[in-house]
Amino acid sequence: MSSDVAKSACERIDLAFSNPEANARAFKDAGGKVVAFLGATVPVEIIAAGGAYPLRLKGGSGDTALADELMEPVRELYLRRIFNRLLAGALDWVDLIVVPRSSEGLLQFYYLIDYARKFRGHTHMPKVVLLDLLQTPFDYTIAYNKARLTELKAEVEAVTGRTISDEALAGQIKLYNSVRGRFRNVIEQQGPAGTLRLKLASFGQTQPAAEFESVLTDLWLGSSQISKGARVALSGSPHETADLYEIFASSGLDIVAEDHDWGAGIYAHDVAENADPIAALEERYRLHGISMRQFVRAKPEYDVSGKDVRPEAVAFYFEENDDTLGWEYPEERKRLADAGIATALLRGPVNSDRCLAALKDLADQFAARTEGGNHE
Amino acid sequence: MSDAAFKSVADQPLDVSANAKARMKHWFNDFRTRSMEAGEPYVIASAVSPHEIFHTMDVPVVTNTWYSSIISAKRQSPYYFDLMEKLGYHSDLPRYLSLPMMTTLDNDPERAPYGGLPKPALILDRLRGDYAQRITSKWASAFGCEAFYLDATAQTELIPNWWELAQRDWETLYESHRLDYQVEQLKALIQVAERVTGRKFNYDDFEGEMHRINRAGENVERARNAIASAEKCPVSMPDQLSNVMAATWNRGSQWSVDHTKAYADEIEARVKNREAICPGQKTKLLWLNTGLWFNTAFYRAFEESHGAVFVWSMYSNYLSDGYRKYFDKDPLRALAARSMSMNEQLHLPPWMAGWILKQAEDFGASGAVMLTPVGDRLSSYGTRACIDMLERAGLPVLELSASMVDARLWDNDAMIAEVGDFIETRVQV
Repeated sequence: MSSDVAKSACERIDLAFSNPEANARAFKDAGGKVVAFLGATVPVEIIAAGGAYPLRLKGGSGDTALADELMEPVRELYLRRIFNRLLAGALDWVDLIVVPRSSEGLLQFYYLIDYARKFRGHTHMPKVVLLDLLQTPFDYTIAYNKARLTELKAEVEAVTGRTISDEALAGQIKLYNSVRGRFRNVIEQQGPAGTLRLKLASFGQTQPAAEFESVLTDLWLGSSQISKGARVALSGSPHETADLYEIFASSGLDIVAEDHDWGAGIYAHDVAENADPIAALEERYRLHGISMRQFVRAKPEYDVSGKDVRPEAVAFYFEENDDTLGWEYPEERKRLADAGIATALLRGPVNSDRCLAALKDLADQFAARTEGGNHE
Repeated sequence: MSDAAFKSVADQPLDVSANAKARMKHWFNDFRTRSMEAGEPYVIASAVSPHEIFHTMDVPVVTNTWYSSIISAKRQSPYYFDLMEKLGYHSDLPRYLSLPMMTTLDNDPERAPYGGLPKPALILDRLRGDYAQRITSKWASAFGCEAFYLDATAQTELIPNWWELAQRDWETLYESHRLDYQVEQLKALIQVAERVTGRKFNYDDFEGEMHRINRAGENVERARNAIASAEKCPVSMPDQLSNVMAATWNRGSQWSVDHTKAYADEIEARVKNREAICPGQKTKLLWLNTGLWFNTAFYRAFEESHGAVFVWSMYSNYLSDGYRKYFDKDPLRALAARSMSMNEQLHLPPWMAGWILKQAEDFGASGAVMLTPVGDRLSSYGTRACIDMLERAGLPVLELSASMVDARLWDNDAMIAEVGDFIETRVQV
């Protein structure tokens, strides 16, 4: 692998992380259709099979003044920012937005868009559809979900004007499985540092599968990009930005695994290739789609390949208005303590004093261990 | 018409209110005798779940909200809040629905109200928010009992004026694919209920129960119309709450039909006899969102000072508008329609605000006070858009933020001053 190619891959990853919509806009400008989505439970295979560009939306770093007129401040910041962009017309170029019912916040976001369109005159916004994919493990849920995915297929067909055949869907399932496998290999064989792993995972959510595959093929990490420092697994609320990862890194800690829905875990599970495509997608996203409503969540110390990364600690980060994931913390803390793994509780927002203080405590613990010669 | 033409019943609760209180006492004594003492199977269920199934099977149902309110009323909530923190649950997690679980985790019968809840046959919850499954699974695990989860499908389109379709054209309103799913869930629930309680579910009994709920709803509508059309409010908010809620918790029983009829009769008689709780009434107010259960006297705090009377809250007639589901053949599908739509109608902005505006118009209300629970994301959803819609329609709204379970955090003087200022400056008298 030439170092120029590898460097180029890293630059592409950084570029996509800082400007995740550039390629989608170029695709649109060239006459293509862009179907945006939120969360990690929308089957991108369906969007891609229709010939549209699948783009997972991020909140970015903009303000929320417009959104705050209609959104309560307790809502997730990334949703307030996306809503602000929608109201401001910054996403009018998108052809369709798919909102999954994979958290109450997302569902309420869907209804609020409907409200803004009907009652506040924001008719400029792109069409938004709800994907009511449930995640309970019941037979009747499976039948319900398959019907919803078939409806989503029809919505994408309406946008692109192209019928999605089973063969086309099967082809995209195979392609995305291949890319997921390649991602897992890169993580396992090269062990990128936490920040880079997050950016690489994010790349696959905003760039086409072929581009993702190309980056994964070209990527070869130098020593400065490989995980080092005390090994910490991160559990809890999602992180679409690298802010927390960078603070960890600057404290001598590296996040080696995470369970949130922008992390590597979104590539942990493939879609069955020898089954009916809709049925296979239903099973994969219902069981393994990382979300607030995922019925059984993965253990945070396991990586994208299902291997125990043997972290020295698990840091639990809960955003400031978390009402859900914190219920798992006491039992998880005990389970990990029984396994000899330290835990830390970080409360949002990321740069708040309480978050930074808790992180410093964790870093100090590791520093003390190192000084005492106990650091492995 | 002068005030003197109205007879004051300011200090006279409705006669039927005593029956409502007696019925709730009877319910508790029955539960205590049968389940707490004799060990008969009972079920813990969320307030918005289909209790009708268990009523039909004569299985006692305890709502987690009821027990939470008992814990608060006995001023035990601070102890359990401290326990939550000691156990490692962070302070921003919603507390209202988790208090009962804390009594189980604490396992101290000396402290828990009524000695704590015994092990139920089942805990039933509807997965509307994201955390219900987590609390329920932990609670069931602590008890060593089974849990049943009703998943919450999402309404695709919010057809305006839901209350016009909700009773007879609910198939259109709630979307057939959702109803199909909910029926499947109810069938599964019935199977589980029969297994864990050892009792049979009788469809004929169930059909009778569903008809009686509709009849009780008709009575509540009659009461609501009498209050709305009265020149001066004939019944206080606490009276409305105690009577309608007793009928709601006992829905399906003949008692609830008889009681709501007596309730409507008495209100109509008051209107006819020109009896008013505040003869000096100058303006009518609506109470929005959650009830202020630990301080119901607050509803009446502005009658003497401002001539302002709270005439309506969502509890006044939800039994009428939300619960009634008429059916020809399939009572289970009607129950599906009822049990999958409650929160949505009461909390999604256009549905919530549309219904409130209808009440404001019919009651002739000039303003509204909305209570938003602090530290509870789920209860906050939609409140800002709802206020936006109400204000744009010309109904002034004051939003109050308060804890639902910790009376220590309620500054009564400050809240009275805030509402008083709102009435003086924003409400047309």
